[in-house]
Amino acid sequence: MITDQLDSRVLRFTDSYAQRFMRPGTYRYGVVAAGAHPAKAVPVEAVRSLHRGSAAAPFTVQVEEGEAGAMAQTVLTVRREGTRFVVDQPTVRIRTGDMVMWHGTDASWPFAIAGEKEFFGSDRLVNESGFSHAFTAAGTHEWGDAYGSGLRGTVRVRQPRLGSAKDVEAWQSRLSAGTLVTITDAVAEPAEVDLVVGQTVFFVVTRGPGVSVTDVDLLPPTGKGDGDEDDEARVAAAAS
Amino acid sequence: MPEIIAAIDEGAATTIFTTLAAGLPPQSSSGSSSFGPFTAAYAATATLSSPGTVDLIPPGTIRVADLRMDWHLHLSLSLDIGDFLPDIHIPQVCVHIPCVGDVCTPKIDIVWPTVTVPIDLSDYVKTTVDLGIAVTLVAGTWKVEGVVQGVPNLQFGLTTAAMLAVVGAAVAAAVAWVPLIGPFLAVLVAAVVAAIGVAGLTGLLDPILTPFISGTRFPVYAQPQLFTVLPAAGANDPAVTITLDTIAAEVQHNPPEDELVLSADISA
Amino acid sequence: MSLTEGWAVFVSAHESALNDLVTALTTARPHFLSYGSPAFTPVSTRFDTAMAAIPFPGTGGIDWHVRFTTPHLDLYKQEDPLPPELTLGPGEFSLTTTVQLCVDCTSRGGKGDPTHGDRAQGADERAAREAAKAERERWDESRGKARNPICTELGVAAIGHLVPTSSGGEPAVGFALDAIELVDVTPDSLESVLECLLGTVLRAVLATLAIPLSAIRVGAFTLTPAQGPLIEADAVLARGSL
Repeated sequence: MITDQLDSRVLRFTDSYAQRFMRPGTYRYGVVAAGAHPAKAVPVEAVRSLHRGSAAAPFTVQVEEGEAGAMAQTVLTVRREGTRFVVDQPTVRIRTGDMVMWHGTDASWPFAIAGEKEFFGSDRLVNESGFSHAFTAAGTHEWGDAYGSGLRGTVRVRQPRLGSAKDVEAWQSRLSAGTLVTITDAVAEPAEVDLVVGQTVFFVVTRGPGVSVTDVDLLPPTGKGDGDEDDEARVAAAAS
Repeated sequence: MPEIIAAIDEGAATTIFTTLAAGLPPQSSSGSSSFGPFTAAYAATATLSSPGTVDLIPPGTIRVADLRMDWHLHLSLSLDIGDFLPDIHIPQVCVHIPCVGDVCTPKIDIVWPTVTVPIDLSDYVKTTVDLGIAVTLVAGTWKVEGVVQGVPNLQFGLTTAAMLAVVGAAVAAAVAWVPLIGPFLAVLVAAVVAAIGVAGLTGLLDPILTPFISGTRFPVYAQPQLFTVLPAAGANDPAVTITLDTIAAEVQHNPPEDELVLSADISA
Repeated sequence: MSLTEGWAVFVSAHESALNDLVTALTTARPHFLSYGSPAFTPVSTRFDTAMAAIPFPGTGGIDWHVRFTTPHLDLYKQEDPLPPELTLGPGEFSLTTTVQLCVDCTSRGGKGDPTHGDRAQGADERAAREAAKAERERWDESRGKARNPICTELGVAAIGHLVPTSSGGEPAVGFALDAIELVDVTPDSLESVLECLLGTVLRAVLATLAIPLSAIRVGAFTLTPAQGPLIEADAVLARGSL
């Protein structure tokens, strides 16, 4: 069993989800529990359909028209308070073209971002979105798309040798170097990546039908990953 | 002179004590104990098995050599990994996306958790014990028991190094799920094992295992004071009983043999 | 010298213990020592064993009763006095008891005579009548009532040896009679007849008495006897394996 699970549908404290907003508007969203087992994560779009306009989408990204320029990034922290998720800034105001990044600090509560708009959600990465994962254990991750686009890639993570405090220091400084994987339609570039434990890969989707980055071990046997016929049941279970 | 005498030689004593040891039920104990720098909750079970030989030593000692005790110890250790490993974090990671700009992830602090480490140790010890003879009349039953005298010196089957290796493996298994533990696993295991050390291991095992042996009583004889000569065999044939007025037991040297002698006085 | 003498297990019971065991047995089950025909013992009970009357033409059967007191055993070497006709040898036991013989003398009619055959005088006569009355009252309680019981008591001494037997499927000590002597019976021919009769009866009675070896060792250890049970130094002993 892979102890470090790679699944963009289930955001853990070593993950982040980023979304650029290219058009002005008010974008409401909620934060949902991603479930104890990633294969049983509640599909965000199913939640979205049930809770459209309700209190289940209490947070807002307010996008105003802006001039072309450098992209600004806003980082939001998701925490668990009692029985609900909270975001440190319930409403953020950004300009068109800027990015909002969500990350969590609680290792016990994996989550997903569920926006009211279809393009806006961590469960299915559409245009101008991204997902980062810091790899915390050695191993080889063969990953694919849970939605069956045929997207595939490999991340090989090796154990660093930390024989001394100097080795630890050198390793720590190496961790700040991230690796970019660009996904366009159903093609990842580069398809294969080599890292040491602790390093981060940032998967950027420039264009696509809506994909996930998921360990193949977590994909359903058919490889399609939709499991539409199971969605309603899982949503009902999550709602209860 | 006693009315009834029953005696066995050393060969018979060896046979009897082999059977007695095998017939003793498993013993168990639980609690918490020091384990090096840790406090561990434990549950222990032990089973005695056949002794090597029995030496009868007048006037009242039965020496059982190579008494073997198979034991199993389940420990539950609370390990705060942060006590052994330095704080680390995954720093902010920035990537440059062409035509977009730099994107940076937030810094991630790694908080080493406190984990529960289940440890299962199994081994056997051998020891030689001297039994004293205790004769009691309790609740209408005469008992003659061999009672372990003193504190036995336990000889372990496994080396302490082998047992510490088991501890190390248990620690490694218990922390395997901790994010980013991989590069530090060997260091952590070595540090925990070193902290426990041989002293911690023997300091844990001796007080737990010794009472299993030192508290053992071998039941040599047990009969109700109202002894049944013949059981009832119908309305006209009630049970026939006698009273065991006194019971005594000792080891005698009756040349050329040492013999375990039980004696009794009875009345109708 | 060791007790076990090369064997694994040794057990012994002094004669006093053996007598305690015999007493316990005959106290709990007195019917071992008491036998009678329907006039005396219409049904077997804990106290009496029912037997048939002695058939004889024209009588309807002669009713009788025999009862022994608990035998006292003396294991070699001899400590109890014996009639001069008997000698206790190595490995033997002596046995002393008193036997009460009764017949229902229906041809006489009226109340029964005192238990002793000899005529009792004065206080002895009163004591004898009381004893006879006690006997009649006991038998009077039962359905088959002896109408005219006449009883006598005789002292009996005997010599015998132990025999290995079994009781309840386990080894036991049994008693075999070799010689018997009645005390003070005349004429000698009558004594001989009675000795033969009582010897036959007593042998049969002793055949029912078996002391389990487990009682000899009061449950200590286990013993499969290879030597004994035998009599030695006022005790019954046995040796063997576990």
